[in-house]
Amino acid sequence: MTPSDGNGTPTLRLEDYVPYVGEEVVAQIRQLARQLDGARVVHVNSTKQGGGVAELLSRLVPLMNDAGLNAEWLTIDGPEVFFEGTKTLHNALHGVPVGRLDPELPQVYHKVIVENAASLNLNADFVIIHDPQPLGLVIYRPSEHSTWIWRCHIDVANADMHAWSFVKPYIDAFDACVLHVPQYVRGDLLLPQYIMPPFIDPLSDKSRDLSQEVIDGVLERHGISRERPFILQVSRFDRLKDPLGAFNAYEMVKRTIDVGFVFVGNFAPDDPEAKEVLQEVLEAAEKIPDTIVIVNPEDNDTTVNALQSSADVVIQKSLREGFGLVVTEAMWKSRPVVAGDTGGIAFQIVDGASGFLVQTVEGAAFRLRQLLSNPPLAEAMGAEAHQRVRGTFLPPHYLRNWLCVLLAARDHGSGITSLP
Amino acid sequence: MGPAAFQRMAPQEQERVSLGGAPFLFFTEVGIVRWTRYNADSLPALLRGLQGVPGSSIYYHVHHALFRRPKRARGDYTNDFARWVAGAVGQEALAERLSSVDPLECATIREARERLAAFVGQYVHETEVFPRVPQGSEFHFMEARSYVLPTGVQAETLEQFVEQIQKLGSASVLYHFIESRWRNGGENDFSHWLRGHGEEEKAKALMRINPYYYDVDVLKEEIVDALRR
Repeated sequence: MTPSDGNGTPTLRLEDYVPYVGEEVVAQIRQLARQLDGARVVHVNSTKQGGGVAELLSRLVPLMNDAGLNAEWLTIDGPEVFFEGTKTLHNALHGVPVGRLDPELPQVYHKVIVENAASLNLNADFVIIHDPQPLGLVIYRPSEHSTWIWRCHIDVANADMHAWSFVKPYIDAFDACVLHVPQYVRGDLLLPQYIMPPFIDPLSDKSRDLSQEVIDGVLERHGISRERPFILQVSRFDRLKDPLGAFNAYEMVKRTIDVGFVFVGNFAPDDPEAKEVLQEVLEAAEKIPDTIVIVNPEDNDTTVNALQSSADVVIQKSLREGFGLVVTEAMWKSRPVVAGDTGGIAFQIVDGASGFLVQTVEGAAFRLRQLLSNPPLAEAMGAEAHQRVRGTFLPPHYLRNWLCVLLAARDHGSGITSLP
Repeated sequence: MGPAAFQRMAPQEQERVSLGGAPFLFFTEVGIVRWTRYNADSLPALLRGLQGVPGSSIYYHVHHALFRRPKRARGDYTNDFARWVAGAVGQEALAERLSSVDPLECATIREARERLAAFVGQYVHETEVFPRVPQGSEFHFMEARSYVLPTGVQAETLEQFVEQIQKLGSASVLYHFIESRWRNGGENDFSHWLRGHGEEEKAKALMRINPYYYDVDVLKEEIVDALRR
């Protein structure tokens, strides 16, 4: 369990990560932070509860403060209709066809932005706006001397045209933006576009080391036998995660190898598509032996951690993916991963070295068979995957990247600078 | 002094092998990657990018690429352009040629750019049809905005020097062994320091190591072996 300040924000220190990233990275962070001289950095997003962005900020903000900055995390407030509208906007920016945006949205959006601009203290050296919901605040930036950066956590490269037209004038008013991977850049944005992948936290329940007793308890609770190896997919009941593709690949593997398949996913009853996909998954599971489907597990983080730590191979057969932190989590646990060659996954896995990237169900089945039949290969690939995460995708790397972005955005420069 | 003789010396004797003069100060480099606004979805577009991007982007894709190579992909192409041409475009012959551009033979980034562009240009000139790669597989020309930081570590003796190199992070290797060649007229920082302290042979031995054929850990081993020989 990560220690908390009582408000749900973990109390983290950079030194906590030295065992994972070494002293050099932490020393670099302190040197870079000194150049920013206690700058006030305000992060704004839409919620402190749930979701990947809140999880990232709950680590980044305390670590920025520990590095010597004056960082604060603010959230915008608004009525349900605002968040419903911006959820549709968010999906449309991600390229999900949502039809026309609600014609009321601009009015609702502007009203909420004006109210929040008046109530939030945005006087800061750097203001970092996360995702599309609070974007409009940039229009009301209180000081010309502050630097405003948009941190985009979604793939907007193929955004719906109407949604993009709505947000683009706001984005144009920023000084820079930060995207997960190079594939997300957009040619119609003139501001500097920096690349910074997200991280997983080795101190969190999802990624910390578990005792064998805890792992065995989870396996036993869900009836998972260790008599045969098992393949794991962790994903929402979402067609873009291609759960049926994963089942089909498993079925092909099962013809020649005695193996099991575990599918774990969270399901929101108010999501009609998820309901349909869950039904399809359950039907597929019934047809193939040794298959276990776990829906909304109790103690989700520890359950997923235990399953990722004990799976023989992890599959993430996504057809479309933002970054795919679930892949990073499995890589951290030294699991060989077979994953769809899409979005941020292709940035994480070096094909053939730290995992396998696949385009098709047949390709996935082939790579699963290869890894299950060749344990030394699986082990070597898992070790390489762990090293890849250890060197790139942990909280101190993320903070170090942020400090470089803040310095670069402040100095408007390019090239190499020597710091004392 | 042979490697065995060097290793056999007692620690107090090693301390005495002081090279005198200024100590070697180790630096490191950190940075953030930024898009240059150039993309390529075909070989003609790659050519336009190679001809138009800032030198920092050529540097990033040729030199930084070394540090993005996984251990298990040692047989991989040496630069990002070759890797993309083989993987996304499927033109392995051209990828081989691009990978053959040895950065050590190029005195300037401009020369590396011209050699890379010449290979792609020749291919484009001889070919009539250029398929576009699927959406999402484009080549994005990036550059790094970097900051050089002192590590606070220094070496006064050869043994200290070797010991510190063994502990060195990959960014320090990039800074002292590769990037320095553009600051020192083609010489890496380690050789420069050794030469300044009368260790001509060791300086030359390090200059003979081509960093583009190793991953960082093996490169460090090669450097240490050369220093102990």
